[in-house]
Amino acid sequence: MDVIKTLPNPFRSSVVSDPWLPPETDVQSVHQTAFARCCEAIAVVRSRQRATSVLLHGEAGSGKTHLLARLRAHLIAEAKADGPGGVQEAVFISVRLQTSARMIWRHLLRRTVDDLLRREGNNLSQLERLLLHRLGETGLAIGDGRRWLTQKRDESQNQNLLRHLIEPFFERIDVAGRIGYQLRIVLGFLLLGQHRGLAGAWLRGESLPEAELEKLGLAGDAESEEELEERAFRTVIALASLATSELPIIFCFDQIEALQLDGQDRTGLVAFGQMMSALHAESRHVLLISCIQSAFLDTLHRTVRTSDLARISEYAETSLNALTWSEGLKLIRARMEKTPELSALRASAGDALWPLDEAEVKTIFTPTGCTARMLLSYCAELFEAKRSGDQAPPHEPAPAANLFLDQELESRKKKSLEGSVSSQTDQIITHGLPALIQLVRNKWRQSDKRPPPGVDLVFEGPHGRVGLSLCNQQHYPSLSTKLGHLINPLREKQLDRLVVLRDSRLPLGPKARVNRAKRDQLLQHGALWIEPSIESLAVLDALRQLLADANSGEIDNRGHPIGRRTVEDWLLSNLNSDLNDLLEQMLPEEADPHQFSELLEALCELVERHYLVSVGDAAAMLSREEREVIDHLESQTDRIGVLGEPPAVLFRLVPDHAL
Amino acid sequence: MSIQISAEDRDLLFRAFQQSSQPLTAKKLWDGIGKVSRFKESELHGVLNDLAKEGSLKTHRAQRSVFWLPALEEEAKTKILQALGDERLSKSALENRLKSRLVGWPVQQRENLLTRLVAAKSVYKLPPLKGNYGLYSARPADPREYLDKAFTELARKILRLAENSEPAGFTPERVFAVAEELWRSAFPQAVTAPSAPVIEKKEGEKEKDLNDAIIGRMLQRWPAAAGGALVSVTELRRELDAEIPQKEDFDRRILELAATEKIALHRHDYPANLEPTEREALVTDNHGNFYIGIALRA
Repeated sequence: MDVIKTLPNPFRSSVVSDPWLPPETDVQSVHQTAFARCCEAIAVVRSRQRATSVLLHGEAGSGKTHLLARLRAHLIAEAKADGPGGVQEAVFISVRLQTSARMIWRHLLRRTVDDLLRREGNNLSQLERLLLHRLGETGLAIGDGRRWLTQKRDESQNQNLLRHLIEPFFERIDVAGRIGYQLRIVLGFLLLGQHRGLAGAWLRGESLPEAELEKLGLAGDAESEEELEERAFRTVIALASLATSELPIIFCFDQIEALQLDGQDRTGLVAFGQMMSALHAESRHVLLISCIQSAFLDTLHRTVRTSDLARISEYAETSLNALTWSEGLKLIRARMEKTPELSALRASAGDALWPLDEAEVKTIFTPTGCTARMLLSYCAELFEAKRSGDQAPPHEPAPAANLFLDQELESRKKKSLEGSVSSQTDQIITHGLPALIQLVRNKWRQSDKRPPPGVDLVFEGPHGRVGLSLCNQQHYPSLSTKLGHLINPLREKQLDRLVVLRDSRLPLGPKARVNRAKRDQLLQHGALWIEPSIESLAVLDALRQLLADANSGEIDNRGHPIGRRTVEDWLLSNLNSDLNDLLEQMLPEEADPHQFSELLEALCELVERHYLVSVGDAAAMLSREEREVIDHLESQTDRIGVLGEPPAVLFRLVPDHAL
Repeated sequence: MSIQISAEDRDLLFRAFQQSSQPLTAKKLWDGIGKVSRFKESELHGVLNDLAKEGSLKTHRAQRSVFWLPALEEEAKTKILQALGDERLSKSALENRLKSRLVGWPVQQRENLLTRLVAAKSVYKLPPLKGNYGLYSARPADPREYLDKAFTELARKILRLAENSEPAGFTPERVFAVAEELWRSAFPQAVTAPSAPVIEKKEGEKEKDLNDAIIGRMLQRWPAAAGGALVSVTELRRELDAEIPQKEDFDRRILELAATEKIALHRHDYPANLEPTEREALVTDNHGNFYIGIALRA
């Protein structure tokens, strides 16, 4: 069919993975009930000034994320139509729960801050809109909010505006005292556009060095894991308290299935239920929307406490159903009408589904309907067949696609490398390592007993109890406290082996004398100190995301979801030795005498700071012989870049994929 | 004379009530907000009474009156239903459970809530099976439970008489005819006129009735289904076991309903991951699809 040969396939992009992107095509009558319930719930939050919740469920590919995108687009359109002074667009927070029970609040905080600070084009960020709205309510910001803000930002360069503006502002809006002093300061910085990077990092809960905290005028506390989780909880609640009935916050939770490590694991889901109850109880102008696969609903009901379940679906529990034939027709036509050239051609064709054949399309529909994703994938194939003049492909289930999964893993690995930051290492390890261990080492399991202080994960296996402590704090007093806790489990034989992990991008600098001494003490007691490479962290990150996406029905091969078990089987069949190598890096059996040395660490820290330094200068700065430096570099070219033979210049290494 | 309070204080009061999971006395409320409110403790009772008069709060007047938000009653009703669960409880057993679940609620208010639930048919008051005391349940009773034993005993007596009829000088048919006569005279309202023809429903109508009964039972047992909530196929089948005992029949009817677009079926995306017994319990269309849930279509 030559006329359509040059036209783009209107049915590509069947998977909507980001509710922030406007839906490609939207047929309002599809999933209208579920959409209406969400809109009603927002109205309840606005009018009755209390938090409420909606639970959405559907098969993989039924359109849960698409519905959220539609909701967001609707809120924007509604606000625009109402004009200034009318109904406001709600604040939208989207959270994929690819995390573990231990870090659920920290994960929520990070995602919340990411979305609060998100800005589109030249618009204000959601946080700025929230704060300006509150300032307008209190009468502290008069007239046009953006102009007022620009003026204040100009003024703040010369004056200590922070104290004069922010203090009275929070005194008025924070009667309940939820927004602590440090949070007020940081929000003030973000509003006035000062120290944006640092303030954003602090708000996300990242560990900052003391020097950076000083720039913000904040004190750092040495906090345990529980205290960090508690702080994340209080910060989320404090941020949620900024919402009002005119400007509510909508939290959308997706990939809840990713919280479950395996069919027997309960901790993640129980933590989710508790988190939802806490959000519901502690917030007022907040809507909580949760999305799960229909097949997971029973697991949720069996695992989450009844009272928590009630809070997850308080306003409504509703389904996104498979499309009926008439709904499917509307969707197909809407997709084709979106392309002007195709739409023009179709006008003269006379056939409702041209260039597709109705009988061919109908073959994918069973009496029970067809999911949107499956329909679009199939129509994409039909369209391609028409373009090339082939016979329509018979509808068969997609075969297990090794190549497809290989590509999926590679693309996730690439993405992880591109966005790799040391602040995400804890999340990657706590979520990914248990999944990896379960996959590869059947005789190992994660202990469900409370780990000793300072230890983050404990695994039990044939060789006993192995503890893993994540020591990625950049705030040295916090690191010192954590390292200090680790000596007792070794002395008291609470663990058979202790592995201390620190991101290789965070070498201990020359000023970290106390921490180095504590590290030496741990090593003398038999602990292992490991610094996994950025690449191995990226592989682990890609793996956990692949498994989580499979669990949530988001791995789609020609319209057919690929489940977790299929992915696990594929990984074990094809990558067994690579997975074992990865695990060996994370939980080595023995210490690698060549992996870690103080000189190497000092060199890493030097290039982190200076980016490029000659061997001679490096040796001088570290008070070592040049020969000694060169000897140490020979086996470590994956950590430090080297130019010249023999090495003459050292440089900070950036992985190929990140370029 | 009503006491004027600022919008901020009103806001403060309502927030305190929203954060409470039980009715509050004026004293308890004051303990929570006294330090930050701008009105005096002596004025609080009057303020609360005014709010109760305008309908923003509910109250139970007693030596220590308590106040609560109307929305709290919905939460309390949910707790009553949770206390009942799937059981049948006597009044005293239910009251014992409610003491710990509805802390702070006066007894009379607990009774009022229960009465309202019964009136709304969210809770049923069942006749006693044994003894003199009725039972409360979140599910309606089945008359069969009450009559089964009595009828079984009666049927046994009638059959024994029929077996021994000949030496007694009457026929078994006479025994059954008299039994029917006695039944009719005892329950004239339950019997159709003898001359009225018994109209046999056509097969198609019976099918339709039973298919409609599936939807009716869904709505009765799971009220959230009216809003599109998913109902588990295995639980629905268990619920309809008496009416549709065969799994194949149940599956067929469900698939028929789906084909008419009255309901939507949700497939299990990874049936191969299930244990065989779990998989076989689902509705199947014999094309490799296993359905885990049912939702009503709008």
